[in-house]
Amino acid sequence: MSVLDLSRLQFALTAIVHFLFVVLTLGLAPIVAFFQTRWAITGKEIHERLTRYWGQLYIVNYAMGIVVGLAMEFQFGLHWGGLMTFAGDVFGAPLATETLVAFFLESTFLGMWIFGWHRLNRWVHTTLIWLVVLTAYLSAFWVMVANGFLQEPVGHVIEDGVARIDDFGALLTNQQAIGALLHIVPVCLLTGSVVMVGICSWHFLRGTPDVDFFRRSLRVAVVVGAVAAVFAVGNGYAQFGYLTEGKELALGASVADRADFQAEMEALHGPGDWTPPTWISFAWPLMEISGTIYLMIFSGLVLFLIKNAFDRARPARLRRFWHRFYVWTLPWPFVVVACGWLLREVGRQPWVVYGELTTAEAVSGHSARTVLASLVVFGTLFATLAVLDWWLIARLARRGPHDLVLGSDGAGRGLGTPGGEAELVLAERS
Amino acid sequence: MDVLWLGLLGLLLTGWSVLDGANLGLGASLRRIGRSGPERRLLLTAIGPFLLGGEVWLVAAFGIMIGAFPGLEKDLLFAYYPVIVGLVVSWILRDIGIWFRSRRCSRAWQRGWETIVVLASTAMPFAWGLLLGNVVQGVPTNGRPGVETLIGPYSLLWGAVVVAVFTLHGAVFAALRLPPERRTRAAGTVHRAGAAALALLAVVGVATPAFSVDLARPLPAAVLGVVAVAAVVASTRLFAGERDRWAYVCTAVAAAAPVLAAGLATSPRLLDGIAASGTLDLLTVVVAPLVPVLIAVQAWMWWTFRHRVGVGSAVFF
Repeated sequence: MSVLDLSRLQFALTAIVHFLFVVLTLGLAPIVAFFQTRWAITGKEIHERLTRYWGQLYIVNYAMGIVVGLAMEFQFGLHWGGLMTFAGDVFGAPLATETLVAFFLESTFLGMWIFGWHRLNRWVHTTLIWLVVLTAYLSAFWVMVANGFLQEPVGHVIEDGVARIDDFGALLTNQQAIGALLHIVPVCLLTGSVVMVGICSWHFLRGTPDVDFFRRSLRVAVVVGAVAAVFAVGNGYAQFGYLTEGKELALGASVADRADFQAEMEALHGPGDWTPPTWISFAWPLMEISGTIYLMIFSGLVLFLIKNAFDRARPARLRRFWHRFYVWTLPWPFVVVACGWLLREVGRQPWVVYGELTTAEAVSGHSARTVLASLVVFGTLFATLAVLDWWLIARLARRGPHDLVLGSDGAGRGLGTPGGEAELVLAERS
Repeated sequence: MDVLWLGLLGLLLTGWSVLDGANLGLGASLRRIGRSGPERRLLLTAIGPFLLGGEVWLVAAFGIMIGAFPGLEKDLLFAYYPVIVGLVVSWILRDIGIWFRSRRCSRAWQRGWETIVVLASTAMPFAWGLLLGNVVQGVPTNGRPGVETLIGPYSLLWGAVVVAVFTLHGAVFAALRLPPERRTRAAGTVHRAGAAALALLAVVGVATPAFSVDLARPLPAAVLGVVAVAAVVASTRLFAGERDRWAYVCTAVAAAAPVLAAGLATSPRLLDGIAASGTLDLLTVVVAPLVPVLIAVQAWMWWTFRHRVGVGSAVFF
């Protein structure tokens, strides 16, 4: 493989693994904030447990999102020097803003939220999780602005072969950024809901004693999921309104259409392969079908909230079949969102900045061996850590709303350590 | 304007060195200061509230580098590719080690992740120091330094200096955060790391002219070197007198000194990579007004968690 292929592979790996965790982070955060708000208002123990149970899954998931995000931040400088040279002045601004104005605050607030239990006033503590949600979504906005520029470079002029910002407003209101954001936000919420429904189903299958707890969780998940599914599908289709021509081909096009486009681009840019690879056309039908199915499932699930039919409907065999279905299909939305990114990024080929800079021009001049070495290192690391993280999340999810790890004061098994060892240490002093 | 942006970059990197430097230093001594599983958990609880808020300074610094210094970003990451990969890998492992360590009761699991935290918390400052040591020897444009520079003795020396000052800083931080009667656990590490830091700083002072490293602005770097030595000496004295807060202030100065010295000594080269004035104007409008807010939020965080860990501290890591 060439250095271009290896650099692209590394970028794709980092971006996708990062997003697999971010999508759930964004999906669960508002739900956790909602539970905590109810807890702050009612002061009821059930709401505290809801907050802490879903909150701990949220933050263990967050860990991987953050560390792969670190690697992500360095990808541009490590492998795409040509992009930094050509578009660094434009593309860098939203990324810089994202890290400083959004992520910096998000990280600080999240640290305070995790460790502010028992220390902060409950309203201050609740405000913190909402601030985490707000800054997380603000991050998503800035990232989409940067990505939107790559999809359709607006708001800039080219001086001496270097792009300079001309109209910042145009960058911020780029349809490719806003349209995609309006699609991806409900997708995140839908993914969070699918995961919650799957976990609730698992507990119902096992005849959980915490029926009330999981019914409450399920209600929130189904309502959020049903609304989110409508917007996820609707705003997905809405993006057809402003697809670039290259992207239209990536959705699947006839040989004749591709040839026409190729000829048109050759006239503009000279000889070369100007069409996205054909294999990427698998992604669109898969997203379309999955979105439609989730829309139907969640519309149906809303009916099963009536009189708690979800865990009471008969015949029991059919009910259990559906519970198993929700458990086994829990990973599916992650496959679908990965397709979304593949379509968006691979579908832009051969461009990194659509119509202006190709990936071949943008790639740094490393030797293929150098990039292969770092690809193997990061690939092994991400694969191992992702599997471990999912396993830890699954363990916490299975344990149910007992011995909660988040908001533990160092007493009981909640520590995840034998006999509450930290308590032992802390208690020695008193 | 240009100097302002270099100043902001310097501020973020200094913030990272002081705040995450303490976490890294403590992580590197996790198994030395903490003798048993429960003690190590206590140390991780001490790091707890400061981990995310500390490391984010480096995330922000590289973000600002992408936005305001795209040319420099590209040159640094191309020239020092293996060092950067090492930095990022050790950073990931340090974080994940801290998050994962207490997620299972198994002793083997916990010991394994403790070892990873120790190794990664040592490797990350070392990679950072290696990067600084290379930067002071001149950042090539669109090129790469030879192996003799990249991991040459002078660069390795910088790596060792950063590890030593961070370890000292982290040990004082541990003393500051642990319950009072456990404070003495850190004394041995403070003592040894202090001695090592002094020796290594002295060697850098001698080696810089000896290796005829050509600094654009040698004077501020030399002054910072002297300040760092004074800060290390003062911190060990203050620690011996049980004045931990003041000792922390001194080690914070020592932790910040390497990046400030390297940055000031090479500032003309760093400014070469700055973005176009239009981009900087824009960032000044969008980002600069928020910097006081960021610092206020961080100050709120430090204030909230200023107490030593004790009964009632939220335990997660």
